[in-house]
Amino acid sequence: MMKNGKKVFGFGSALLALTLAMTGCTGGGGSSTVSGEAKGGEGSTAEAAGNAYVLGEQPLEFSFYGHYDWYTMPNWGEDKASEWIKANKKVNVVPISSGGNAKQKLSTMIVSGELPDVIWTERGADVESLRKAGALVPFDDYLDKYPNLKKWAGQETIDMLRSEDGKLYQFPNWYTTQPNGNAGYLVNKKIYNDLGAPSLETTDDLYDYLVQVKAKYPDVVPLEVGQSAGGVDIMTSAFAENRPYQYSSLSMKAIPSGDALTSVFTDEVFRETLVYANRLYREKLISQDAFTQPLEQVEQKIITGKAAVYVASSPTEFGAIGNSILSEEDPEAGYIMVWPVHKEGLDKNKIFPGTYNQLGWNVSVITKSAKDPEAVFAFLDWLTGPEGQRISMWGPEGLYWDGVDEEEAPKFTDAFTSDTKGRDELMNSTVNLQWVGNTVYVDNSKMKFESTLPEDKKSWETKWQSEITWKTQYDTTEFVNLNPAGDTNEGIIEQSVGEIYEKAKAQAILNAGSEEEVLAILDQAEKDAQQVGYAQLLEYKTQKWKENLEKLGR
Amino acid sequence: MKQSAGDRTLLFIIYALLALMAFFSFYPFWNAAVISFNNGTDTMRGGITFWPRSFTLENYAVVFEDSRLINGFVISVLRTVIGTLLSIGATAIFAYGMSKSELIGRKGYMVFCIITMYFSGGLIPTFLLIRSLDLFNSFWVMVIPGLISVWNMIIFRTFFKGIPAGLEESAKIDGCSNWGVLFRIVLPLSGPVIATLSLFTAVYHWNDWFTPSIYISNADLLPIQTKLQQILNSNIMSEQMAQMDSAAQGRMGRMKAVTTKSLSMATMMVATIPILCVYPFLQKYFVKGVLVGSLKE
Repeated sequence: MMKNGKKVFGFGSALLALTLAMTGCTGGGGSSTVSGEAKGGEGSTAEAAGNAYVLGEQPLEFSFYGHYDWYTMPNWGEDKASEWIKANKKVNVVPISSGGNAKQKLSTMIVSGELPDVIWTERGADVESLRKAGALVPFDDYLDKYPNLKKWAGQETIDMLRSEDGKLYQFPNWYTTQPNGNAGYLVNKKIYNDLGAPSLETTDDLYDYLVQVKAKYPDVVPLEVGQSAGGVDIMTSAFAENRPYQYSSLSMKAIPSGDALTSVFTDEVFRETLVYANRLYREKLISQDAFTQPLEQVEQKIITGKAAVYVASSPTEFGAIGNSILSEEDPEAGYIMVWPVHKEGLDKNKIFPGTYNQLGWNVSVITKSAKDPEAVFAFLDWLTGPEGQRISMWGPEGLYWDGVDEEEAPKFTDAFTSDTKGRDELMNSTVNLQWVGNTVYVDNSKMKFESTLPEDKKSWETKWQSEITWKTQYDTTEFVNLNPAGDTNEGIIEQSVGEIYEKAKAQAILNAGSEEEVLAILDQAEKDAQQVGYAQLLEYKTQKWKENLEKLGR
Repeated sequence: MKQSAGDRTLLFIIYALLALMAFFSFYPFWNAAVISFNNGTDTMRGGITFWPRSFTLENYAVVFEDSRLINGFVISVLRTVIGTLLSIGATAIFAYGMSKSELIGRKGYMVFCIITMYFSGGLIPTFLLIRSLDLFNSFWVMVIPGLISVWNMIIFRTFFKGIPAGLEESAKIDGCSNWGVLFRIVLPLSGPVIATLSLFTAVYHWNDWFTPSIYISNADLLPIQTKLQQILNSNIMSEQMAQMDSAAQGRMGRMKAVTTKSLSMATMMVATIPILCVYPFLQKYFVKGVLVGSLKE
């Protein structure tokens, strides 16, 4: 009996092992399906390169997948903008949900070969892996047939978006040729006026102000640095001229010095910022849970006026809401923004708390699953052009805008300023459909209109954008794509150095008892980083940077 | 028997500790419920603890009017009911067969089952399997793959083995087929086991958000848990944000920042309360006890 049992067991395990091995082979079958599709796709691209596709003649339907855990595409046709597009341009978009689990969802889609027609995702690793698997359709043949992308993005941006094989696969979102962005310092108006509206120009001024706030308002956070203490990064801009915070942030960790990129831990400006932040933290001028607080908590503090100064990459969202809520109760309360704080002796016009880059935020790619990729490109091109942007931002003609002027900017109607509730509702319903935003067109149209409005009707956000933030955002286009792919040697070093960086930064701010300790922590971090190969990583990044500069012709 | 002072103090401490633990377990849920009844803007001011400060049913109105969430709710209910019925039925039938010692190859089947309890193919092979079975993007992908749970099967089998053989023999003598024995004798006696395992299975089906998120792309077929996952995710800062420049972060922030905490909590309540309500109805089966007075030997 025992022998019998052993035999069955042995047989069973052998069978199982065989099954598992065969599954591995099936995996191979999956990828061959993808390359099979790739060959089929190329054929159809060649055919389509005849005449330009006219949007609206025939019905067009394609599937769209937003590669983000938090993104849900609203049902197409349920809001005024997509309703108009569905009726007038005969376009229907079928959403593919990420189910809150984007990374694994995309992996399964790649492996099974069942890709959606359009994927909306960050530039970089994901796009590259799709491209290498032969899953993407290049746009080069389409660029000359459809006007908008080429015109509004410009040659430089398009060249920067090209992949290693020289072809263009990425359709950018919120690309721009002029500064945009909201980073800066938000100040609580009431507290500021109460304390006599002192000067807030230098870092010393800021320190003195925060001390005053703490003394007089014990339940208010003097300096709110936002989720994961992101505001500390922004403040590096205060300690040097022409210094975008990106250099010393987790994503880059490389400071340009001459024509090479150098270590962040030995960088004077980074060290000085951390010493300053540590001092603020020790004296309880920065919220003590800065590194652990979730976004909602930050929002809460800003909206209820429990922060005196808020520095972040985009303080305007909460600032706008907080301003309207606080000023409703008390006309003297609310938020203002101040010109970026700088170290004594620096030129205030060369201080840049924010960054933007010409390539925008993310990209859309068209996969070989699309039956008519040229038609999809034609649609995206229309959507990024003036007409598409007008409709997707502000709804169809006749509601909040009527007609256009000579520069194709919409002529906003009275309803735009009087029916703010309806207008905001519409804009909120379409915000998740803006996949190919055209910054220059939208911002210029907004500004043009705002300048015609009386003071009390101007939007809080646009006022501060035009006065302060758009003038203090730095163009960091030359620093895109510096990060190596995760599975390469440099990628592993990047990961290790990143961990050292995060640990050192947190320790320097939270635990260090004095300036010397902060510097000691950073020196140690430098040693640790060099040991894991930081120098090699910096070389790689320098090389990529130089390539970018070439592409940009600088 | 009179309790000494020491006994009473000990008792007091024990009760106090238990009460404290009960409170800590219950409070977060209570707080979530309170927030869901509180006005969204008011919630953002913070400080909501035991009672809503500005009571409103608005959040629930939004949830019930949102056709997508109601749709998700319906899918969840359908899945739980159908999934549990089919699963328990299939597992019971399988377990009944396995409980018969005259079944040929019984040990072999058992070995196969045990192996699957410890090993599985992983995500990608399972995905390929599902796709090749054409279950992709359909309602049945949530029900069929997990139909037979080995764990449940073993529990059923043990229980069936414990039923006195005399019952089945007497039924067989009266001319009952195997199926008849299963449905007329064995299952009615298995009340407590069926109740417990149904509850576990129902809770599993109700709470599972992962399977639909991977296999289903059609938003109309997603259960409410997957939708809840997306809503709650919108409040978490992802690593992606660290990689972006501040202008991009602003754009992303604009898209994400739309669900208030109150609305999230209301959705969570709608997703949790139904399954909680099932427990009281099954309670009596747990307490009933096993095989009360069936065969006097």
